[in-house]
Amino acid sequence: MKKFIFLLLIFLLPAIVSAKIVSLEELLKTPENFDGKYLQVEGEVIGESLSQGDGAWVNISSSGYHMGIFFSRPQIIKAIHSWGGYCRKGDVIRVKGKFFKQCQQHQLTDIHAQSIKVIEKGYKFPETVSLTKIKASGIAVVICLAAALVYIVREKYGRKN
Amino acid sequence: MIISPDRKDFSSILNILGRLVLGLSFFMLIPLVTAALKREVSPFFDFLIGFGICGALGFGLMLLFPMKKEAGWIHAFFTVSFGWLIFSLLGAVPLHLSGHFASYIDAWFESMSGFATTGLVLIQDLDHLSFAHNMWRHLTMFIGGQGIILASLSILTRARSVALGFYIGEARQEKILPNVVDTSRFIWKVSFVYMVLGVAAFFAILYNQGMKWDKSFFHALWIFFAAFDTGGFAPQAQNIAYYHSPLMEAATVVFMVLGAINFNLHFWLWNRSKKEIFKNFEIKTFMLSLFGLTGILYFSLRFCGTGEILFRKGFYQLVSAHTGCGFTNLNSLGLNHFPILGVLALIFAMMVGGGVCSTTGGIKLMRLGIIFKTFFTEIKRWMMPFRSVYKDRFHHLQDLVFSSKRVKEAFIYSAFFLLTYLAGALVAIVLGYPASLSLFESVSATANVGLSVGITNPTMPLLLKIVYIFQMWAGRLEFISIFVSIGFLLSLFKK
Repeated sequence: MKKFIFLLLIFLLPAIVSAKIVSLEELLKTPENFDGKYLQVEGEVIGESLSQGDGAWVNISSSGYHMGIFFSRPQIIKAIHSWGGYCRKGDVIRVKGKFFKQCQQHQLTDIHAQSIKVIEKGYKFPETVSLTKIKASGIAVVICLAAALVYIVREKYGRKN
Repeated sequence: MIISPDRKDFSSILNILGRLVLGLSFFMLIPLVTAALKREVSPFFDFLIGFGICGALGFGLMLLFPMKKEAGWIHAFFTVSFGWLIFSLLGAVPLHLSGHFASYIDAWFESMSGFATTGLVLIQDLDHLSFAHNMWRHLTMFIGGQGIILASLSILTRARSVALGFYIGEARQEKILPNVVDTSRFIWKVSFVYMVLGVAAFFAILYNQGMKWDKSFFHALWIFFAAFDTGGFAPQAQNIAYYHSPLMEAATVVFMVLGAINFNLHFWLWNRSKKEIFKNFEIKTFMLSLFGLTGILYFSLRFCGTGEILFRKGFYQLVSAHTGCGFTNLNSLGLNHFPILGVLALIFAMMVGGGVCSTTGGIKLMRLGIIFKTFFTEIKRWMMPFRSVYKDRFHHLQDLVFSSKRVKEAFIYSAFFLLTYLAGALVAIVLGYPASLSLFESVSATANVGLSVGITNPTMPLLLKIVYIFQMWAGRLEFISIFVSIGFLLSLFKK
C-alpha cells in the first residue's frame, strides 16, 4: 500500500507542481481546455467557508469572475484570515488543484483544492462618509419634516373650515 | 366616446402618487434600521437621504395637488403606470449612493429590476455590498411582487371603490374575495405565512453550513423574498451557486413554484378543496409544459453525465425560468455553454411564466393553455358535422366555458408579449449581439425572469439598458395600463 501511494505521488507530483496559473476568466470561458487538469487559480476569498459533508467550500473572486473551491481537508482553510465582505478585503489566495468542468461528486463546475497559499493579506478598511452626504441627509430630512408639519396643520385646519 | 382627463384628474393622480411615494419612504426605514443594527454608517446616511427625499416629495405632492375628484379608472391606470416608474427612480437613490453602480441609469435599472421582480443586475462588486443595501434590493422584490400600489392604497387611503382598477392595472386579472382590498390582504397573509416557513427552512440550511446566525437569518430572508416573489436577486454575485448546496437548491425550487402559483389557487387550497390542485387547468398546463421542456432539455444535455448533474444543471435552470424567478446555480457564463436546443427550451419556459394572479411575468399558463386548447377545439370542430354546436370546457376553480372573450384576451396579451420579446431582441441584434443571446436576454427582461447569458452588464450600451428598463416595466404591468395611459394622454391632443 505504501509503495502504491509513493508511486502515485511520484506520478502526480510533477503535475501538481508544474500546474500553470490560469485566470478565472479564461477558465470559465473555455472550461473544456482545462477539464480534469491540475492548475492554479488566484482570487480574493469571499464571504465565509461553507461546510459540506467532511469537506468545505470556499468561493473566490477575480475580475468579476467567481469559482467555488472544494477542500476535502478543511484544516487547510485555517490559513485564510480575512474573508471579503462589506468594508473588508478578503485574502487573495493561490489555489493548486484539479479543475472539473462537470464534477461527478458535486455535479457542477469546481476545483478540488490540494493546497493554498495566501499571496496577499486581506484587511478591514474604515468606512468613509463624505460631509456632503451628511449635509444632504440633514437637508432632506428637514424638508421632509417641514412638509409633513405643513400638511398636518393644513389637514387639521382644513377639516375645521 | 373616449373619456379624456382634465386638470382635476391630473391633480388627483399626483395626489395619489404623493401618498404612494410617502409609503415608499416608510419602506426605506427597514434598510435604515438594518444599517443601524449592523453599524453600517455610510449606508445609514444613504437611506436617510432616500427617506427624506421620498417623504418630502410625498408630502409636497399631497400639498400642491389636492384630490379634486373621486378616484376612478383613469386615475388608477395613470397611477399604476407612472407609479412604477417613480418608485424605481426613487428606489434607485440609495442604491446609487452606495457607490456600487457606474451611473444613475445603472442604479435605476437595478431598482426597476427589483420592483418588477426581474432579477437582472448591473451592480458591481456585489460581494462587498452592505447589509442595508442588500436588504433594500431584496425588499424591492417583495414590495413589487405583492403589488405595491394596491397594498399601499389599502393601507393609506379609503379609496376602496377604485381598488379594482389598481388591482387590474398591476396585472392581476382575478379577484380572490369579493372585496379587492380583502383580496390584497389575503395575498399578504399567505405571503407572511410562507415567509415564516421559508425563512426557517433557509436559515436551518445556511446555519448548518457554518454561516453565522445573523448572516444566516438575513440571507434566508432575502432568498425567500427572491424565491417567493420570483425575483431572482441574491446577496452574493454567484447567486445560488455561492452556497454549493443541493438542499438549498431544492428548498428554493419549492418556494419558486409556490410563488408561481395563482394566489386564487392558494386560497382554494387553504380554505376550500385540496383536490383542486389535481383538476386545475393552470397546474395541468404547467405540468405538461414542464415535463415536455424537461425532456427537451435533458435530451440536449444528454452527454453531460449522471441524472444528478442533469437535475442540478438542467432542471434547476428550467424551474427557475418557468417560474420567472431567475435563480441560477451555475457559474457566470454557465448558460453560454448550453446547447442551442437547451437554450431554446429555457427561452420558451421564460416566455410562458407561471399562473395569472401570481408574482411571475410572461404570457402566463392560463393563456398558453387557452391558446393550445383553442387550437385543438378548432380541429375538432372541423371534424364534426357541419351544423353541430360544440363548446369546450376547462376547470379553473370551477367549470368554465371557452368563451370568445377569453380566447381573444389570451391572443391579444400573448401577441403583446411576443412583439415585445422580438422588438427587444432586434435592438440587441442591431447593437451587435448574437441573435439567440439577444432573444434570450430580451425574453428574460420582458417576462421578468432575470436569467442572463451575459449581455446584461455595466458595459452594455446605454440604449439597451433603457430598452430593458422599458421591457421590465411593461412586462410587469402587462402593457394594458401603460397603453391606456398613453391613450388618455393622446386624447388630450384631440380636445
